[in-house]
Amino acid sequence: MKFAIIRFGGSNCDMDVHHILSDVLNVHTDLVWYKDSIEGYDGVVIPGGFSYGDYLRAGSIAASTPIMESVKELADDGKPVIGICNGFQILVESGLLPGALRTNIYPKFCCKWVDLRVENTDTAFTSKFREGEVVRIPIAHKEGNFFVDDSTLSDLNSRQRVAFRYVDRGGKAVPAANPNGSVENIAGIVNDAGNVLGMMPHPERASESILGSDDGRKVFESMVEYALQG
Amino acid sequence: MGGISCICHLFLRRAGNAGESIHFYRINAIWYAMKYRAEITTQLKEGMLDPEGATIQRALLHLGYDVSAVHTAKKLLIELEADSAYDAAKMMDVMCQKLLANPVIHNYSIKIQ
Repeated sequence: MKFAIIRFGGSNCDMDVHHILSDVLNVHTDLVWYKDSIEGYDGVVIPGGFSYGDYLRAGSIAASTPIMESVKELADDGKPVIGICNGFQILVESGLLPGALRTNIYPKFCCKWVDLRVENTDTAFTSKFREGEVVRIPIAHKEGNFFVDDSTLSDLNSRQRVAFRYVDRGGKAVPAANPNGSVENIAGIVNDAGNVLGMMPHPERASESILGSDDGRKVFESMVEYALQG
Repeated sequence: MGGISCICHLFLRRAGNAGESIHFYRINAIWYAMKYRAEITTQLKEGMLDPEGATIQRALLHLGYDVSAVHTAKKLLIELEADSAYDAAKMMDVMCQKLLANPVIHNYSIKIQ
């Protein structure tokens, strides 16, 4: 079993994810340049960063590269695909996930720890969590203000496609806990099949207790377990 | 197409000199891909929160200018070759849908010159 971390010009969380998968979870993981092939991989990570300087819109240039067609095919095969931060922006821009990530409601880069509630444990990335569990994972973005139209939002809710919401310490999705203005405090969503996840918080920055939290490790552990079950 | 355009340019000049412009203009209409300049404006849809616009509006208020709204937009100037202005507009529309705008949150307009 092996995973690919796709690198675009401007990706900068690639090594962090590589460290967690290779060194912490002992899984074969390759850093793959976007012009190379992801054939034969059992899962794909699109890491955070500022691909192509966030030109035009965050994620839009990377989303138009040919490798994203291969990512779509891999996702259609049921293999796990996770986009973190800029990776989430690339997934919505390429149409693998619905919605858009707008500039934060307070239009500034926001880098801080947030509390998230796990909304659905029946996905490729959340099976190791308990439903309703509150976890601590940091965010670092300026365009993380998730938006979908009302009908898509009700579809996301009714099909349990919201994976994480920003919450307060008590686990309530109140406006004060919303760091960027996302609709209904949404921090991460999955596709219909649950094998494609996009999330703004950085689980790779919270996967070892020395970093202040290891809650994020469960995202990767769930993904590896899901890929093992094939 | 670029090569053909050059040849047609030459024809046009010679035609002017020789006073046979009608004949050569016909050739021009068939062969010559015109250069167009497209002005694309993308803007957040109405009602969509525009934090940058709101921040600029507040700054203007601090300076004593009581403006009722500020909306930000992005303008792209694109040069392209096409057989007609209509074709150029059609190409730009596809480009807007595929890349230049995000239809989930943006409206866009296309001006061809």
